[in-house]
Amino acid sequence: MHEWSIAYGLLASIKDTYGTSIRYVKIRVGKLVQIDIEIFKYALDEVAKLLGFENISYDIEIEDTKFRCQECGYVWSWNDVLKSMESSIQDKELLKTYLEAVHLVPSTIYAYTRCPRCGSPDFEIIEGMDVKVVEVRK
Amino acid sequence: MSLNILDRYRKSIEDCFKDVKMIILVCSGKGGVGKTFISTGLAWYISEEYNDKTVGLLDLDLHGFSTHRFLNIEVPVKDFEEEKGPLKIRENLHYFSPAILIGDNPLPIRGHYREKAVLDILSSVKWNVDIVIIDMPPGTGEEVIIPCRYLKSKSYAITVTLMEPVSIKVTERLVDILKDLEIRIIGVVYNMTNYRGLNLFKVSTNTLLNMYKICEIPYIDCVLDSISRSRSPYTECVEIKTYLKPIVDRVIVEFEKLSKG
Repeated sequence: MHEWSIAYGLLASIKDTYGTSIRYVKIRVGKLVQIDIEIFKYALDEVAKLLGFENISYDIEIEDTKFRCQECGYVWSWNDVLKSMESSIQDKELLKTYLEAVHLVPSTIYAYTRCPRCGSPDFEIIEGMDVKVVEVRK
Repeated sequence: MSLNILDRYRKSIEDCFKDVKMIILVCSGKGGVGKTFISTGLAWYISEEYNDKTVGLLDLDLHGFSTHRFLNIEVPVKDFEEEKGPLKIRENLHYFSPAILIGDNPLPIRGHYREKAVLDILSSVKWNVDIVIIDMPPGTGEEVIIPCRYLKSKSYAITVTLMEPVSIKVTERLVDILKDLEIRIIGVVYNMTNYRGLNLFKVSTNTLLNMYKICEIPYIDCVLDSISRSRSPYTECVEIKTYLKPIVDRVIVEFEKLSKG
């Protein structure tokens, strides 16, 4: 499960940087990554025990993913992309594979979407692309 | 507290490669010199010849991924599940490419998104093999720099060039950068040496690269012919094995040195 790998990477980097005395972590998760939040929370708890954190708590914020076209300036969201993929890809197994690709490697969204207004592949992901730590407290 | 220094990838990447003893970056200065043919062939023949060794092939050429064509694998692979690890081409040959997930869709990523893609691939695919061979894009962009950053202690490079002055000059620059990155260079392969008169340069080439030379490989007609008929050239063209043998041997020598500590 990718959630375990992300949980391990986040907590191991916190341990390396600040030690295990951290008591609170706020994590922001972009919708694009399609993380299963329940699995992620469970993975964080288990990895925290493994790495020697005691009494650590988390807040997990979900952030919508926004795209902006570099050609025409149009802004659209992950839900727009998802709807478009679901309606254009009839083969459900193929759709599942493509969504798995974005889950593992979010940048692969560039293989599946274009600007809904002008069709350009030249767009930015202006928010909600990653999983990142936005606050830690002792 | 400053969070800028947190790097969530480092430990995950180290974990994904912790069982791997040796990583071989197959690089070139310029495109079209045959990196994919050589990297895929290396993985194929090492795993065929050495049953006691497990080999991984990772395609990191994000814009030009094509190892699946050389292996004749239909993509995307619909039942791919990350938790099962890379695809098993044979028991001791494991494989991952973006093509497994996205098929032949173009992937027009650049800059930050390209860097993220490399980091996500390196930190998501767990390799339980002895040797991972990475097929690189030409040049020294994110795909080359990032593995060097995170996996330096296990990394070696093989560079591929045509035997002509333009490719050689760019490859010399590549070798300089790899040395600056402290990557051990296994050697340089001169590829397609009989192609369109490129062998004319053989005599006049007096280059620093010669000290790294492993072998020369001629243009082999049946390679592209096999691919065009949806066959793997490694199963059809018997002569490839002979031409790649010096590279296979050199890799094995380096690997055995590692094993002896």
